[in-house]
Amino acid sequence: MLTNDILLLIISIPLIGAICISLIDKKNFENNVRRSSQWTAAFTFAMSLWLFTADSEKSSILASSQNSVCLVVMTTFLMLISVIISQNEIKAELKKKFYILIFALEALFVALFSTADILVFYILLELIMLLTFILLGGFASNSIYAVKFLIILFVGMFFLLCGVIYLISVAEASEVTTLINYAFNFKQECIIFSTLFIGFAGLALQFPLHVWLPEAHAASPTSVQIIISVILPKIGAFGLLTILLPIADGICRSLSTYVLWIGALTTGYATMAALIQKVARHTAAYSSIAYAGLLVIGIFSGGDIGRTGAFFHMISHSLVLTMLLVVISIVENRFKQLKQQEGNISITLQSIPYLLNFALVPMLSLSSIPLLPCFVGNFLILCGCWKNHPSLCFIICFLLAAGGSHAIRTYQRVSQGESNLKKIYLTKAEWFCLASLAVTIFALGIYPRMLITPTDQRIERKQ
Amino acid sequence: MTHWPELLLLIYISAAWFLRKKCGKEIWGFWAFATAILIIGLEEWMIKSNLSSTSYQSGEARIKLLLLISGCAVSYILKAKNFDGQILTTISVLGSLAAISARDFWKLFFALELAAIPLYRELMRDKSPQQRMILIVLPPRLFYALLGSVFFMLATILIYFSTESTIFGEVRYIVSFNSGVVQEIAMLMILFSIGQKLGIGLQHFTLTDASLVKTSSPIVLCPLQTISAIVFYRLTTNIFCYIDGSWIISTVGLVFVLCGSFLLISQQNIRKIVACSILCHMGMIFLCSVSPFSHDGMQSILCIVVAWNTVILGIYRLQEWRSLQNLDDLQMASSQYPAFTMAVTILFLSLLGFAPFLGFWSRFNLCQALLGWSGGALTIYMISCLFNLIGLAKILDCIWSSKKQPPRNLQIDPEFVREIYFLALAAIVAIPLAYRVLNTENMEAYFVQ
Amino acid sequence: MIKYVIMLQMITLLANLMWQLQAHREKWKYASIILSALTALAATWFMVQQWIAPHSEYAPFYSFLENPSCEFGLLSDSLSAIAAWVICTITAIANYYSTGYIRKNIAIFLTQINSLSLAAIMVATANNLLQLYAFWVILTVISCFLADFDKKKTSLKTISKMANLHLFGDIGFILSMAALFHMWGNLNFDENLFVGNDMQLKKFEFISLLMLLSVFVKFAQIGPSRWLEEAIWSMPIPATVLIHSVALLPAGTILIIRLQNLFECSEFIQHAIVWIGLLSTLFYSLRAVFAGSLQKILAYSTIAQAGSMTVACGFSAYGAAIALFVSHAFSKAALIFAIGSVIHALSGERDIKCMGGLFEWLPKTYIVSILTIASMVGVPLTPFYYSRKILLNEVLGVHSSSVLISCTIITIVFSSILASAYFFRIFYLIFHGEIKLTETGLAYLSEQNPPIIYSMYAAVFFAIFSGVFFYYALYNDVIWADVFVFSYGEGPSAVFMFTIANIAGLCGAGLICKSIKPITIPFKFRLNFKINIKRLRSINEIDRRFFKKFYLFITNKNRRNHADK
Repeated sequence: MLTNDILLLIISIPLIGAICISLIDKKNFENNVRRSSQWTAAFTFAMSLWLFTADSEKSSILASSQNSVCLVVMTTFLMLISVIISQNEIKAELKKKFYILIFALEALFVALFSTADILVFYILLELIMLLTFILLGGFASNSIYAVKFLIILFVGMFFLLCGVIYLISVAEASEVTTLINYAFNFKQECIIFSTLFIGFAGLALQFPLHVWLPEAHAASPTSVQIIISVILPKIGAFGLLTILLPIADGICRSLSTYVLWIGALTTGYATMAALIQKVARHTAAYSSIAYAGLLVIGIFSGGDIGRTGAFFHMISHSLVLTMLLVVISIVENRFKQLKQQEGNISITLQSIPYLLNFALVPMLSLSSIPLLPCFVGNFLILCGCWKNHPSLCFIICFLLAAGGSHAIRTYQRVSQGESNLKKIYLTKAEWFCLASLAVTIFALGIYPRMLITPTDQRIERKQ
Repeated sequence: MTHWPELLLLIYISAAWFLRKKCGKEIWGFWAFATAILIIGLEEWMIKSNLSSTSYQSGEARIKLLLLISGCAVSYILKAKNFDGQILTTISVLGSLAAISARDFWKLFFALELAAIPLYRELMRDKSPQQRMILIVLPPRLFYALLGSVFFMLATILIYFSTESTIFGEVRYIVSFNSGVVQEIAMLMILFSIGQKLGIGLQHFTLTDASLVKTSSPIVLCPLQTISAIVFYRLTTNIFCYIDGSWIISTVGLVFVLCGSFLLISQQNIRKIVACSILCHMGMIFLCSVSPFSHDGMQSILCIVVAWNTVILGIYRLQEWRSLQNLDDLQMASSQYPAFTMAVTILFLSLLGFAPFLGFWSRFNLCQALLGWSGGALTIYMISCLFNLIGLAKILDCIWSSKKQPPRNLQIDPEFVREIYFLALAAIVAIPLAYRVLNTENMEAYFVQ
Repeated sequence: MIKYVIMLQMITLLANLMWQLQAHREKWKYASIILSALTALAATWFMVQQWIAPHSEYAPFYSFLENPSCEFGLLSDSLSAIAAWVICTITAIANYYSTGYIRKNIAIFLTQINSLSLAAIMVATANNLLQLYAFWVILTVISCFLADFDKKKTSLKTISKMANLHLFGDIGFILSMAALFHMWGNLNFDENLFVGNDMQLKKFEFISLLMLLSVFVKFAQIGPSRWLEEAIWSMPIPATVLIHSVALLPAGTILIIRLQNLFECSEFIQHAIVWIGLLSTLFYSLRAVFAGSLQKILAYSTIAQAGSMTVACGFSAYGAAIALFVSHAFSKAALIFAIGSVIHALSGERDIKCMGGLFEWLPKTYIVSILTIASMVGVPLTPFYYSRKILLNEVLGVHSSSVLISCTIITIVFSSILASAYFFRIFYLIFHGEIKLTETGLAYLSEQNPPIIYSMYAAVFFAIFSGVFFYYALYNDVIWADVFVFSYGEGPSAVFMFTIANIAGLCGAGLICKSIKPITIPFKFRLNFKINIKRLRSINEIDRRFFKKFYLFITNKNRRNHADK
């Protein structure tokens, strides 16, 4: 079966699932919603695994390079996990709306990663922004954050629209591959770069357009957190990597110093901010921003190594951060069950067997411990950066070490003390989420070549 | 064959008036409009399949179609009970159709006056005791509207005397060689009059008191607004482009945009928010008309006009249901009536210009038109988009917030809900169709003639 | 061959994990002990093979990264053989020891120490710099966990100090790896690694400095040394043994030997290494004499010995470095086991002020301690004697600045005198002098614990008889695997010097240890990073405050009473 067909299937299954959920009536509501949502998500993920094995070179309508295939699989996997986790978090009467939105978003993400046309990309991106706004407005604890999100990203989207229109009008084509091969002159590249960069910078959490994330993250339930701080920044980075960089490569090379310093500023600010937070959710949000800064550094560092590292990092960091968010959400659920006071996180953590061991994995990953995937991504980005900008490497290393030591300290603080409470065991669903994430993380850490080799070929061909 | 729709409408008006006066029966105009649409569709199809030998300007047919659809929608919402409204709508659409096929200033004048009859009727009703009267008889807005018509007439006379013709083609030919001050003043007066009709209609829409809702229907002005925008655009790109006065129009456009944007943020009344948004769009139409990339501007205008018409219809229906004045009245709508809120949301998003609704294509083409021409105008457009977004986000936020208790019991009658679906469907479904239908590559011949 | 060793160690680890999951079965304890003993035997066999026929086998398993190219696998040569032998033997003894020493959570503890030794073996057998770095960091992480084993409140500070120093030190490692990747393309440890030309000398110097930053953190040399004294005492005794003798300190030696081409490129670097080693040895030997508590003496003695290893590496005397490493590993292990036995007999009391005059009650430990301290001090016929001799020979044979050589010789001799002093002092304070325990305390004193006793015996055996190996090498002028040179050199002067040194030390110790009072040198050099938290918080909240006002303005939520415009 061709890649095209599989992709179309993957896009349509969540939509069909959303429609089915919207038709569920009040009789046996809970069970039906739970089952149908989980089955839809699982089926989509299974389809996307099939995509891995199909040959992607023959696709013509949807341009799926290996980049996009990996991202599609990652998205469906993360959506599956968010669907499983959200079963206990969303109130029953709101579940229907929630799942319709989630599945619509999933279809849009997959379509976005696999499209070859820049105008379609823009339209899908705007729809995603809109649906995320609705999601945040409905499910975050305060709708101010949704409005902030919309306003900041709307400005970016406007610039992106101007950039897209300019590209289409100058090159008279809207396919990305045609645009890459078109030779723009310097002035045109300037305009393209400035508009597209501002457009993607808000999504990719660069300073100072990152401000929408921390509070929106802290106020939303876990599934929404996964979408806004894990998937959306990767879309921004994906846009930078596959659209901006190949099209405007001359000016990217000349301006790379400034862009790298923006990335370093983002990472620095976010790391410093993460160190002073008291609530786990805020720390996770700032760590997401810090690593988004690293992605930009990797993408614009020039040379293959940095880009490979950035791509690998996109996927590995998503998995690690998701695992951290899942652990935090399990702990908070148990808070409610045990009716403990705020701040007694270590006692709750220890009353759940095996959770400490699972919590170790993302903590160590975020400290760049080798044999865990974030190290490989960071290292490749550093190698790529060292060639042209060695001074920046010192700053990045320092920041990574600071973040790492904070992670280890937090873990130690959290695992102190003994718990007298009765043990609450992890449910099967939670086991599945945590175990599958842990296995994937270790596999990527020990054998990173399963993601890296295909990318190299694709990026080389673009040159 | 080419004037069947007008004939049909004329027949309907006479039959309706006659039957009402003599037999007391009421006929619903919706069916007349529907038949007219079918006729035009049939004509198009026959021309495409080369079954008919008429040379027909297909651009003209499509704009007629647009007007008929808007008239159809209005009359659907008005229902047979509101007989006055039905008749006024039909007259307005008739005038608009005549204005489309006008090739002459005098014809255009009379057609526009015909189309503006509902406006005058509405303005005559606007007799609140606090308002002052000009010339003891006329309410102020009616006075200004009539003044505009007088200007149009004077301008046509001026053109006749300076170019010895009032046919569009001949005037353009003469003006393209040498344009004097007289022609400039004349054109400005015409454009002022057209723009004024648009503006006064908007103002009326904004300020109509809810108590007047049952008897007066501001939505009958929709066809007038549509035709004003189209005629404005047509004249500007056709004839006015040869006259050295485009800076006036662009300045006025910018002023409208900025005023509309800044007024928008501090409003609390839903209708006023929408009206300010439409004011911004109107300003953008002015800017589009003088931009050199007018092809894109055309498309933008057509799309936005449809978008704002749907929103006006939606708002009208909202306020008819409950006299909804403030934003607070919309709270808790989403949890009780999710489909309704969804439909209203889609209408607003279409007006804002979100993809993939109809309004997106307007924004797209507008950016295309402004991008190569003036970065400053583009920046102002961005600011106005942002402010529009803020204002309409306020409305959406209120609708979707499920935290507070509703002040009153919101009860919707099922017919109302059906209409909202219809409008939303128009915004969504119309995308591929409208984009095809309004594809102005074929319509260039009509606009630049 | 080495892969069997690693596989056996992994199986031991698995057995421990299984025990963790089924905590009530005692049979797994024996499985663990037997398996670790088998691992030690396999390692010994491997070392013997390498000794007879030294060869270097480079066996990559799989390709970790393609661009830059990096293949993970195993490198079995003489260095990895000897390191594996030492690590496996001590681990086997420690396994057995812990079954007697640890009371709670023994399965978790055994898992941790076995994984620590596995990581150490992987450091020794890494065939690639990136792989070495991977396991280097894992060593740090596992030692953090071991430090937290007892879950005390105070261990938080300890662990953060350790983690911070190691993480910030590893910055140097990562950056030098990135730079080396750029210059070289790959980092495999084969023969032509870093055989560079003169053009790249400056770059190599800079890179070596970066790398040395990381190494000196691990070695706990004169700058970043604060972590060692607190970290090791917060762990149980068997873990302390492993950290001191096996895991952290030799890792640095292995790294320097693997990267010898890099460090030998520039004289400046070599001199820097030597000077830092000398300073640490001198300074910490002095501190150990005046230190007040057991943990500090042990820590400072380790740092001093690490200093001598550094000096040896700086002079390219890798044979001496290896010899010092082996002797230090076994002797320190035996010493700490003996001290552990005392602590266990005193039911966990670690304060030296409570110990005294225990030789009647703990006879076996007494004998073991005498032998161990003799071997640590460097009495002739013990390994330390021979390794110091090898070092002196190498130093004297180097054609370098005579200031450096004379300083080195003076420092080594002086530090061996001081070593005798402080080790004998420990001995005296524990086993002789006034009895400080009460009558009831004395009644509970017993050393009936068989695992502890037998493991002590095994450790002492290795501590003394590993000297045989060096005796043979020295008197036969062996050059092992083209890298490690053991030569006799000038004979009598070295014997004379050392023997005098030891006797002087013993006498001196006897005189001073009665009267000396512990002095803490108030030398605290700390870099304080105090992030001004309040200011950072307020910067963080700027956008929040600004936006909230904007939002209220937009939604007119604070102006409800105004009429419509």
